Amino acid sequence: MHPLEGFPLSETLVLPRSFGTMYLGETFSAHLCLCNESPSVVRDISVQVVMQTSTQQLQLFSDSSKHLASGQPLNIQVAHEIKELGAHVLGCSVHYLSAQGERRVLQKSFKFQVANPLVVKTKVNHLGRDVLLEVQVHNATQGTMALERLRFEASSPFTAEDLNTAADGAALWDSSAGFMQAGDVRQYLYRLRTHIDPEQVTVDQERAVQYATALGKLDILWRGSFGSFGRLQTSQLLRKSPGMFLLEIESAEVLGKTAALEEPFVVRALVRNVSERRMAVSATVHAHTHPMVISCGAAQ
Amino acid sequence: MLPLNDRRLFQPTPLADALAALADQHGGRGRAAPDAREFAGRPHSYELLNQYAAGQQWRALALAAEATIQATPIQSASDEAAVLRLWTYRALALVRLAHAAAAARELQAVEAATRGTSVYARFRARAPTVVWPFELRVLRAQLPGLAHGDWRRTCERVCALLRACERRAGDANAQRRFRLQMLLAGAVLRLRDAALAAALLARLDAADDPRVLSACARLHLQLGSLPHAELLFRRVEARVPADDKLLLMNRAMYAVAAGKWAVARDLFARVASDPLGEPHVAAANNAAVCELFLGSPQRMLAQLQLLMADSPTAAGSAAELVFNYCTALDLLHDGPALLAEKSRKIADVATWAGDGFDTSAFKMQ
Repeated sequence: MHPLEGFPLSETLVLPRSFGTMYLGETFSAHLCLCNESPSVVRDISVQVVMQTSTQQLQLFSDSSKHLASGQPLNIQVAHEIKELGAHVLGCSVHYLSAQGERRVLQKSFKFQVANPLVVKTKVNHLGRDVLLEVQVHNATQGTMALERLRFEASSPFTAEDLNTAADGAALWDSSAGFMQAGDVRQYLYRLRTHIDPEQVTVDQERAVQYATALGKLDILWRGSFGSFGRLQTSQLLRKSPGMFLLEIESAEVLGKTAALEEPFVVRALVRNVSERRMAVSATVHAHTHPMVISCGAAQ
Repeated sequence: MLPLNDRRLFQPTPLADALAALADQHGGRGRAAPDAREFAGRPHSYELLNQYAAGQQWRALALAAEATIQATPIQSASDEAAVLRLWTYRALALVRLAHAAAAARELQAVEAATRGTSVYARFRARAPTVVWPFELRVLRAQLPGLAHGDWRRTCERVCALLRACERRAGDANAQRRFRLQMLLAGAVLRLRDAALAAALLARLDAADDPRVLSACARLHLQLGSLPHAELLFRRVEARVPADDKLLLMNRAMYAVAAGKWAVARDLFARVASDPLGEPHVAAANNAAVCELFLGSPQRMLAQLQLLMADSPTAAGSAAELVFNYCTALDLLHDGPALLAEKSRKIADVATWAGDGFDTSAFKMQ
C-alpha cells in the first residue's frame, strides 16, 4: 500500500456528513427535489421557495403551471447570500392538483442558525492629527480559514496607510502566511492621515478632522473548505473624537538665543481662535507654577 | 512474565459484524460469523492469513492469527520473531474490525511479555518495541489515535520511530521514513493543525514526488488556500506528462474548489473513462458528485449505481461511495420508498464488503 493511500485527505469527494454551521457572509446553497411518486400525472404545480429571517422574507424561487408525470422529478437549486445573524428558515411550499382534482398543499421547511465567523476589535491611538488604528481579527468559526483579503477603506477626511509590512516591504499577512485556525487571532495596524496642509488648514477643515468619528470600514474575504468563500464588510469603525479647544496654541517660542538672569526676554505665542465666535484673549504667567518668572506685560 | 504465545495475552475476539447484522435486519444475507472452533488449536499458514487479509475477512484473520500464535512453540529467537510477526496480523485484524482499543490492550500485554524474550536480552533493547517487526511498531504507534483519539500520543510514537529510522541508511529505510512522515502528517491533520500538516508535507524527503505535491495541494484546497494549491499543482505539471491522470485529477480538484462543476465533471469523466487503464474509482465517483452540484441527483445516483455494479469489490464496498449514494437516495426518496432502496443497497454491499464495514455510510437514522 502506498503511504499516501492511508492519508486522511484522499482524491475521493465525499458529501458532507452534516449541515454544519452557517456563517454570516457565506452563501447558503440548497438543492430541492420534488418527485411525483404517485402512479398518475400531477398537474398545476406551483412551487415557492422562500428564506425567512427575523426581519424579512425573501423569495428565492417561484414557478407555476408545471406538470409532473409519474416518477418524474423536478430539481430546484437556490442560493442566498447570508446577511443576517440568527435563525433562518428555508421554506418550500408546493400547490398542486391531485389526480382526484383536489387542490393540495405540501410544505417543508429547514431551519438553521447563522453565526458570526469573525470577531473584530479595534483600538484607536492619536498621533498629532493622525490616527493609529489597531484591528484585531479573531476566527470565531470551528474550522480553519484562509483569509484571502482584509482591506481597510478609510472614510473622508482620512486616507489609510497599511503598516502591515515587514522591514523588506513584504506584506505580513499575504496568502502565503498560512491559515487562520479556529480561535486564531491576527492583528493589523493602519495609520490614518488627512491630506490637509497644516500651514494652510482652515478652522472649518480643522474642525471637520477633529470632530470626525467615522474612521472607515473593513472589507474581509475568506475561503474555507474546498474554496467555499465568505465576505463581510464591517459597519463604520468609530473613534471617540478628540474634539477641539476653543483656542489652539499653534506655536510658542522665546525670541533671541538666550534669556539672561534678571533681564527681560520676549516670548511669542501664536494663538488661533478655532471657535465660532469672537474672543478677547489675555495671557498670564501663573506665579505658583513659575515663581522665578515675573510677567512684565505685553512687548512693544 | 508471560511467554509471547500465552492465551492470557488475548482479548475476546469480536465476532459480531455490524454490516451482517444490518443485512439480516433488512432482508439481505450478511456474511456469517466464522466459527471460532474451526480455527482453534492448530496453526494456519501465512498464505491463508494473507488470503484472509486480501479478502478483508478480518474476523477469520483475528481467529487464525490467535490460534497460530498459541500453537507456535517458542524455543529460539527466530520463533520469537515469527510469533511477533503473527501478532502483527492479529493487531491489524482487530483494528480493521474497529476494535483498536482491544488491539491496544493486547499489544500492551505483548510489550510486557517481550521483556522476557531472549531477543530482547540479546539486543539489550532500551524499549521492548525495538525488537518488534517494523509493521507491528507502526501499528502500535497508531493505536492511541485509533483507539482513544489521542493523536498527540500517536505523533510522539511516530516521531520516536522516525528518529530510529534516521539513524540508519539504505533504500528500505528511506521508504520507511517516507511512510512514517506521511503518518505523522496525517496524525497532525487529525489534531486539526492544518498549517503544521502542510509544513510537514512540504518538508518530506519525497517532497518533489508528484503524488506528494498533489496531496499537499489538496490539503491547501481543503483549507481554502487556492493560490498556494495552484502553485503546487503547477509544480506537478512540470514533472508529469500532459495527459497524465494525476494531472487531470489535480485540474479537476482545482475546478471543484473554484466552483466550476461542469469543467470538473468533464475532467473526472475523462480520467474515469480511460479504456486502457484500471477503473479509476475516485474519478468516477467524483464525476458523479459533480452531477449533483450541476442540478441532477438522478444522474449522480445512476452513475454511482453503475460504478458499484461494474466494480463491486473496489467501488461497491467503498464506504465513501456508499455514503454518497445514500445521500442521493435521501434527496430523491422518502418514507417506505427510501427504506426499500436502502435495504436493497445494504443487501448489495453485504455481498461484497468485508468485515468491519462502516455502516454509518447507509445513514439509517
